[in-house]
Amino acid sequence: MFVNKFKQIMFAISVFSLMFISEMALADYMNVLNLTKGVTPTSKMVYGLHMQILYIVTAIGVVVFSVMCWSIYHHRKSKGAVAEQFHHSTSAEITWTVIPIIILVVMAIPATKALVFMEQTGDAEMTVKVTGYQWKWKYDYLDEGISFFSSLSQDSNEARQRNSGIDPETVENYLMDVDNRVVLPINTKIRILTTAADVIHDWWVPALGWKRDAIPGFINDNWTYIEEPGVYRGKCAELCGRDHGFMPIVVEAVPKAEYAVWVEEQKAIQLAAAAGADREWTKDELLEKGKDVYATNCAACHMAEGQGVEGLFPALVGSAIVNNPDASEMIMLILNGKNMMPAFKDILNDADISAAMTHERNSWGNTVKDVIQPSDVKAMR
Amino acid sequence: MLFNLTNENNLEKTIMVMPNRAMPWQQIMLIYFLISTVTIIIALGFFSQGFTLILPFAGLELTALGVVLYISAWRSNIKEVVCVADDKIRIEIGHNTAEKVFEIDRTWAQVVLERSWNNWYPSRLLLRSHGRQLEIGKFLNEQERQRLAIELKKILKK
Amino acid sequence: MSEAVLHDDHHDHKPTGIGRWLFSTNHKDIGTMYLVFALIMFFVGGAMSMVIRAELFQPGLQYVDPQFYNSMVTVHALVMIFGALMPAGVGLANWMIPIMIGAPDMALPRMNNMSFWILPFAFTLLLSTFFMQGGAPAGGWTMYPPLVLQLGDGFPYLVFAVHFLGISSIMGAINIIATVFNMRAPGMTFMRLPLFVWTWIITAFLLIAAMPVLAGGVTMLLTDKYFGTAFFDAAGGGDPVMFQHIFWFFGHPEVYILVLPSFGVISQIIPTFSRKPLFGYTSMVYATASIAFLSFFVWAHHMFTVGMPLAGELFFMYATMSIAVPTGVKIFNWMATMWRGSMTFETPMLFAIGVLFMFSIGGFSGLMMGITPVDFQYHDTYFIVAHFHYVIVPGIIFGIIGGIYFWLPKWTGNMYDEKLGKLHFWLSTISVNVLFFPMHFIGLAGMPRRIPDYSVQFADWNNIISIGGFAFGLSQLLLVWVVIKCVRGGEKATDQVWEGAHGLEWTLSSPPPFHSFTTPPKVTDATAHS
Repeated sequence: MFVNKFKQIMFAISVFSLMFISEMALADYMNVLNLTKGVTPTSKMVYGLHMQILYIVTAIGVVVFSVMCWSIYHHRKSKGAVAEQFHHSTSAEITWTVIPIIILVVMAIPATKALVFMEQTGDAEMTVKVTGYQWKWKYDYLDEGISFFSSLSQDSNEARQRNSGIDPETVENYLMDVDNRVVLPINTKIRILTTAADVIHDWWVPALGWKRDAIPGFINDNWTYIEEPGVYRGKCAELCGRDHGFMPIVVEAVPKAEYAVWVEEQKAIQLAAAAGADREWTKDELLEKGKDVYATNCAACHMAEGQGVEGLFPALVGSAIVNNPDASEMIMLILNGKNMMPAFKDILNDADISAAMTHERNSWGNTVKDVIQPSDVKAMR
Repeated sequence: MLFNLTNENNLEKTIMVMPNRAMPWQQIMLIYFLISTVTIIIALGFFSQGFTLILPFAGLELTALGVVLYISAWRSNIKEVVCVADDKIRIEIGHNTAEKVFEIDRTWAQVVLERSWNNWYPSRLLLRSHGRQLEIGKFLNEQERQRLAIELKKILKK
Repeated sequence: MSEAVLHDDHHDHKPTGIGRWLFSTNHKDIGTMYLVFALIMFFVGGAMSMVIRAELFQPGLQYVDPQFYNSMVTVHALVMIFGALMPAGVGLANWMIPIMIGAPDMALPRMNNMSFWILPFAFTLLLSTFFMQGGAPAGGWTMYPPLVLQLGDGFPYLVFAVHFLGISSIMGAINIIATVFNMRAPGMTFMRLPLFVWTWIITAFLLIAAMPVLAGGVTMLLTDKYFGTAFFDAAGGGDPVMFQHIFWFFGHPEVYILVLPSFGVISQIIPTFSRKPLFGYTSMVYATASIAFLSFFVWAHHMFTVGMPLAGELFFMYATMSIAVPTGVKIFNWMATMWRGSMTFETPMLFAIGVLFMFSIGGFSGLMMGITPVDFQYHDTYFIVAHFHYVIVPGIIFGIIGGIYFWLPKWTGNMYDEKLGKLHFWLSTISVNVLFFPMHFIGLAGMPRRIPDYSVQFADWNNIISIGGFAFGLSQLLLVWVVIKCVRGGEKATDQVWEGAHGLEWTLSSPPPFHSFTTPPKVTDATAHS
């Protein structure tokens, strides 16, 4: 009976060690088992450090667990072992205090080097400011004056609704895709500043080798240097409310020339958007734009059909504010926020807000059915 | 703890019981002082950074700890003295002086060690006489109470 | 104790009904209530984790709203930490400390009663938030502002529940300190105390030092929300990160508050079933004390990613790594206790060995995360979820369950069903590893924690993890059955219960205390700790 039990124990132990070993052996082949090597000097350094510590603790584990198993097997009563009565040994105790200290020092040296390297944020060639919002990211290219929001892509957003009936397996890059990618040049030292507008978020792209909190009212300084072009995906890593799981990050690293083209495109788009705020829009234009703006900015809380979430987020269907023929209260609310609702004055431009409002006031059986022009919003700012 | 205070040339037999005081008051105060220092340093550290509301909680807590240590030390200072004379048994109970004195008739006195209905509660040692009873040695642990019962029975037999 | 009166002769009547429990000041009654309460909360918190694992069983949202999912994550942690682990530790302390040190009861029995009854009240406050406007707390058990301030009507309930839980633990800690200081039996010097008592003394000191920090922290959240202060509001000149410093200044010692009693329990179990004295008693005491001391200098390793100055990051990295040394000493001492012993493997010993193996795994991943540059990758992923669950479930909970099997015959007078106990151990051990080991992989591969839905490459592992979770949850019902069966009857336990048992608690009858002793207990080195 006891032999059986020990076979069981040994079996369990070998399963553990196999898991450890398989983790190391398959590390390079299977990307859901281990840390990514990444594409920056930092991430490669971190990966090397990670593997080094993993080997050390695995080795310690193998030694310690073998000794324990050997002892469990040989020093058992059923095998006729007689207990000795020693209860201390100064030399042994010194040994197992000193050896761990030596191992720790060996581990601390490369770790210190890596940390010092990672904190060198100086002499960057360009700067991107990342601002976390509930629940999307805003990117400001401080040198080029480009600025845009990046939210969960539309198809993921539809599939992730509760009981949407859409199989996530059929959605490409489910929960890992966005509407606007962050485009960055390769082989460039880029300074990345993180901050937030409402609560604490955390900007994390594993392939870059670090994550950093985005804290309202504070700016954190980081840097990266991407060596290979490609698309790198990440996520918010700090619980930031209801849709924390649904604000991915997509970095597209491109050669410098391609990046320059992209910058020009973006500048043109921004100019067009600015111009749009000053002209008169037709109702159809506003409704079409408003549907998109609503989906990316409002639907997370007020839900796709404006029904809200009971007890948390008010419904827009039949809402007194939405159905008030005088739109000024609604405009003020959207601009300045209320309770959990963020102030949208820095998030959306006048055209976006007027479009979203027109959409809300004309949908789901709401009765006003009027048109709000960007100039109406502008007047209230 | 039991002390037999009976003097050889005295007819009265005297037993004193008191709880075991495992630590002198000075030592308790010393450790209390050390704990307080650590807690106050932490609270003051946060206070100096502008996080003022930790200090009052630390103060409340240390006050509670001090009061509890004082009460438990005071309680462990209690003494019960049982003097058995020819005709009477006198029981004095008090901390520094005899705060309560009971007398019972020796002739009818009985020592009863009563176990509780469920033997995970402590037993009670009762001095009984004329249908009245007095519990003594409530603060003793089980073994000490057993010993006290045996001692008292021995004395009363004589 | 001083009120003594001459009164009419009457016999001690059996107290009946709820009153026996409601007003009991007996340390065994209160210890039992603590343990039963902890078991109930273990299943309440467990049910929440089942909701979490059901939602994560496959990608996509099937059962709950993300907001409710966040509430589950948050309240699961609060219930398990403050409702299951701490009361279980205090319950064991209440039961065993007076017996182990030869005291008649706890120093302040009425306060003991009160500190227990605060708990159900506090949890009623906390759990009632599920029915309020805005729902239950959903910002994580760490209550980071500004997110926690978005909570609706439930917010003050959260704060006051935390206050009451703190008051309850403080009262427990104060009582234990007073008991051990004043009420040890003659000859029971500090260096003869059983290690379980030592770990609890140190735990009590940690509670005294850490609790006011939490109480002050949550109070400042409350004033920030309702009274216009700006301790943690950057717009008003405050600093949201300082709350994290405050929280973890409490939170890291709290980790040791949870784990040390469990260390104490296995320090009692391993010598008993190795039939050999505990190896290095003195170094065990010093190692425990230095772990407790160091725990006040490592808090910021929970928040390496907030962006600290380089010097701070280096300091907290070195301090964190140094904790591995005393922790290693403890593990090695336990191994040396087993070495050349004469071991048998009853259920308590199996659980203790389980702690040794699996707590070590949690220790290894802990060491990995202490390395700051690498922690930038590990932080807030499932790797950390795997780490602290390895420490808490097979580290702390297995220790507590081992202690329950160890002392159950002493408490009830009956032996438990050894076969079922062993079955419980093997089912728990296998399922707990299926549950938590793969979390290392998905964490490293990039799955953040506290998300209700995930991208599809993590689907297979999450599937396996959920199955392990359900199996672990079901296995725990076996514990309830074994305990009920043991309370209702079974083979009578001897006084010593276990062949290798030493110490005051084993010289009393099972269940304690009534027996006709003719000699007082003498505490000598041979019986004090073994």
